[in-house]
Amino acid sequence: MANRNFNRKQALEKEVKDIYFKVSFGATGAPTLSASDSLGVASIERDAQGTYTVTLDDKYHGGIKFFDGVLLDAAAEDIYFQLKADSVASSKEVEFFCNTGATATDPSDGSVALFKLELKNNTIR
Amino acid sequence: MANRNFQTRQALEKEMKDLYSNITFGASTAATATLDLTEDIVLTSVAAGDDRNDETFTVQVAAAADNPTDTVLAVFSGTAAAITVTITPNDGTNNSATPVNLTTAELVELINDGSVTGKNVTVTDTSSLRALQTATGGDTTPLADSGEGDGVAATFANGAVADPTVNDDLGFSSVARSSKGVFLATLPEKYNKLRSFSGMILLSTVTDTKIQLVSEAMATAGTITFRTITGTTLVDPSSSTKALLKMEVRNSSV
Repeated sequence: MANRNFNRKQALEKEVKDIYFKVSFGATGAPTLSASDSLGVASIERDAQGTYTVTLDDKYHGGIKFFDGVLLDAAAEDIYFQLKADSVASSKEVEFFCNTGATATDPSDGSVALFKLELKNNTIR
Repeated sequence: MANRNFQTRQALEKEMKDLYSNITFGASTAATATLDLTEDIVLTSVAAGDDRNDETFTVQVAAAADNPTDTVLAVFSGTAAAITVTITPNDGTNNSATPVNLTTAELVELINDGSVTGKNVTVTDTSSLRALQTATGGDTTPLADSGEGDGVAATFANGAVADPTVNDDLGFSSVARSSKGVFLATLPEKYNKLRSFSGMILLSTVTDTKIQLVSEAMATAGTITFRTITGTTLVDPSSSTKALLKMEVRNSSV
């Protein structure tokens, strides 16, 4: 492991939390959450082609500050992620699309995606 | 709220700061153009935004000719930037000596619908220019060669896209649209160095829009410029589109 001095990062906003999760995709985009790599995430469901809902363990009242995902795949794949809806403050849910161009598309069978959510855990500025 | 233990975030670099912003893209206003007639025709661009500003729409009225049967000919030609519609009235030669013409109100109908009720108009529009605008106005004044409408040109103007609204001003104090799909964001303070920038579209429908950094002047002006693109084409996201933006900046040169 890296044995170096790291410095604390800061934000202007209070109570910003990082949540990471890892998903592997099966046939027809069926997602499987890697529990050990997804602290704070309860589940993921496929709602429709290329459309997913992630449910967190907890609500975050300040909502999503940022969301990003990257596909981990040995083969080139024209997929990017788009945030569809933020309801982490009410129902603990994050909805996102996997897109190819302007079409929601299931990632290929066997691909993996790494995601990061940056959440605000209160509404105080 | 989540009542859990979270760990301190760290980086190798000193004085790393995360800045977030949340913006809503501005509404677009369609460009309009006015044909100066007895009763003016106002053309409105179908595409909203400023793309059509300075583009033209010209009416030409040819001398009545021996068109087939009772037809009036309408030819849309030129380019999207300079459209010409040429109307050739029917002189009646092939229509039992009954001439047929269009009024300016019927020209409006033709532009809107591609046809005129009660008239037989042969439309030639190989570049699909007619549907690039809608029209209102006109009256019962007939179009006339060297008269009403002939050679009248209108120039589109006043198309616009509003600046984005900054919903979260801790990150950016303002975001201004510089040109189509290009935005200048100004931070409340300067920072020594920009270390990363990312943008994520938040929209309930699928959109092929990505956010890309154009340039930054974080240390000198506290600004960054970013673009919104589809493929490699600059686009203005719709006014219902939000974007989450994140910057990582360094607040020291140590």
